Amino acid sequence: MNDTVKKIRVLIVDDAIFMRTMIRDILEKNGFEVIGEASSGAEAIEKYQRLSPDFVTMDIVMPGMGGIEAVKSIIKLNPNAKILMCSAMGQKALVIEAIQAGAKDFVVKPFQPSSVIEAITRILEG
Amino acid sequence: MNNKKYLEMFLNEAYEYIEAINNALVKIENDTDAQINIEVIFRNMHTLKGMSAAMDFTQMAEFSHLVEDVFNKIKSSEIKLSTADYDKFYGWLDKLKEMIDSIAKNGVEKKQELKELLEIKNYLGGKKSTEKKEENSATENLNIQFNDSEIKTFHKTLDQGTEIFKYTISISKKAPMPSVRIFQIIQKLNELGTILKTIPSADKLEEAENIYTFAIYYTPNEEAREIYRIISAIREVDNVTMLPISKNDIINKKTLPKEEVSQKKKVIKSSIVEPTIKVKISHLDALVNLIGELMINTIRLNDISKEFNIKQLKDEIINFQRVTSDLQDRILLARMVPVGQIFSKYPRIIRDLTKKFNKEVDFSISGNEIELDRIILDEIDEPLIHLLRNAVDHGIETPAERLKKGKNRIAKIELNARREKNRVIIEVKDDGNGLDIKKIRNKALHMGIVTKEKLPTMSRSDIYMLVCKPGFSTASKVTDMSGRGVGMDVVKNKIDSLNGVLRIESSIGKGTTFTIILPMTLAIIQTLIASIRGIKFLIPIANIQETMELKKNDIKIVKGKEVIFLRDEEIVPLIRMDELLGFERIEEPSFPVILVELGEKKAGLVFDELHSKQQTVIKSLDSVMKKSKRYSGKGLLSSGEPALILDIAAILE
Repeated sequence: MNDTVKKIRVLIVDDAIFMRTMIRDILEKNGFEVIGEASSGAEAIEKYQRLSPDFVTMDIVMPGMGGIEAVKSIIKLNPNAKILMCSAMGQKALVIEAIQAGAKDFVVKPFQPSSVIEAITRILEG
Repeated sequence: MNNKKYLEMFLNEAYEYIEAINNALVKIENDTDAQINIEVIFRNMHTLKGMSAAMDFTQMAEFSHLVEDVFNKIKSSEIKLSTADYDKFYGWLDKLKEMIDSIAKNGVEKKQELKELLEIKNYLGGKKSTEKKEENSATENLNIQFNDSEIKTFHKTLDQGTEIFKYTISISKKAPMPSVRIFQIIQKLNELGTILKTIPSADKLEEAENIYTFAIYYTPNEEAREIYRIISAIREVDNVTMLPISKNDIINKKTLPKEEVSQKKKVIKSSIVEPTIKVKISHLDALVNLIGELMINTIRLNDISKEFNIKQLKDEIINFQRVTSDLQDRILLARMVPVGQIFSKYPRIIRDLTKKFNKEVDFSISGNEIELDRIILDEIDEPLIHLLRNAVDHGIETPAERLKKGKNRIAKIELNARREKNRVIIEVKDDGNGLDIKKIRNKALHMGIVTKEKLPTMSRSDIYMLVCKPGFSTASKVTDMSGRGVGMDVVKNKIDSLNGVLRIESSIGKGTTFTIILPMTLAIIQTLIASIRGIKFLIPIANIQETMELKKNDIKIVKGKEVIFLRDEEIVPLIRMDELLGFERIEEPSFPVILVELGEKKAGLVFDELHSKQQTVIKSLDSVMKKSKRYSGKGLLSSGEPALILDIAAILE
């Protein structure tokens, strides 16, 4: 982004391949680099540690460990971790829990590409 | 968003989710791990909703949203399940699947009248879902009043010289979850100062989904302008105003309780799985064709190198062949999919069948992980459904009959897959009444399928196989006598066409087992090259039992037909391939014979000459050649010339 040569490196977490692909496309079209995908909370934590991404998009409801537990663990690893929750409708309580756990913002499916990018940009700006 | 690009992926995943939900529902109905499976349904339905909303399939999104609501309520025990509910649920799932089918067919969602929507809403008991907005009462009067204790606190704060500001904050009307946004703002403000009062009250802010504007009385720890800047920078915040408050602004009453919403979630540990991608089958087919050409190239290269006898060239070619062969294995592996992909929809099918035929069945599946070539798997689906259907309809008895016989009232049907060498065995097994061999015999005689003379020479399994004869089942109400037969000829033909074998074992009163033996792949097979008058043909090794060199006097004549005696006991008919394939018949004093077998049938095929083995990529025949029915396909020889692959099943007929 901006003038920097180095792209922002993003980890996408969602159990549906479909959603992951859609988010990946949005990000890559806007100059982000997707360095990994995870389909569960456990996988997200493992990849976060291994890849140390600049940014994480996180689904909430996933089989096994869900997004909220994953946010908690990641924030424990890195209190400044930048995580954007990708929620579906009707998950108010869960989104609130995620934000309490340290997620920086949330977008609600179905999302506009522009709102995803705006959310990420704002989080990165800080 | 370019939806077309995602459509295929969407459809694939959507079908998977529907199947998973169906299976979970079957388990709940059978009372296995109900809590886990309710969670599975809730989660999958939730994902389905998200996906369909993302694709702008609004009807499907609404539908799945409502069903998700139902399961959310079941999860939280707000709804208690009764047995009558299941048919309803299955109906909804079928409707959802229909909607997906329609999307698959049309590429878009065709809006339709959905009576089920009303049914689900009624089921939910009018208590509609969490975020359906009530359009009225959107904004509350923000110039609200104060109660006595508030007035006291405010005055005290101001007396201490601390400034109080009133921030009025508007969230964008487009914000999908305004209450969460408000929560986020409040959390931020709590970090940077003290909230004295919110309007509407804090509990209302948390519960309501229709509040887009609210006010906060606040004593900031930082510069008031900085707070203003921070709130303004939060996404979906449209407008912020800031007002310093004096004692005169604080009058009258209202209360403010406050608590945080938090929801505990159970966490189930999961293992990390290897990531996968989805590949179009056409890509894989193209790869198989390319590797086929590459294989031919390596053989030719090898031939050429023999002429020149250069050591380095030879070494390189050996290396090249090794890599090519590894590549071939990998590509074939990529075409393999676990049988679980089709098995997973069977529990639901069995469930529906048992309802229909008033049977009770304990259905179990093993070997979900066994892999088969995608094409074979697709083709075997229908025969398996046929066998399962027969097992429920005719194979097993009603609970009453079973009790009368002293059997467990609940019948068992098993579907087992396992691998043996390079073959996959699939078994459909029931503990029902078994096949009545006498009745099959009589029926076959009556229908003229077999002659009276032939019957005594037939083995038990030969007689069972008679149920696969065309017309055996359809002629009369055969199911009552034999227990089997509906469309068995179709099943048998399909398995034959896949180069597979069907076996039937049965024991009266105890049950029947149908065993299907399949090759793992159809794309590349091992073949033996054999020729007639210099023209080469390919014979699938899978069908070959052995090859031998015979002399003229090895041939015996039985009932006017040429046969050979295998190890002095088994009589095997001889087929003169030259005659069969339209060449002139020539009888040499000694000749090679390929002994082929398929299921119970065997024959010795007489050729002029046998050559080497080769891996052959099967290509389909053009329509003219297909008509001859002696060939199942064609492959390339190392010379680059095409050769026909013999269809052993057709030849043995």
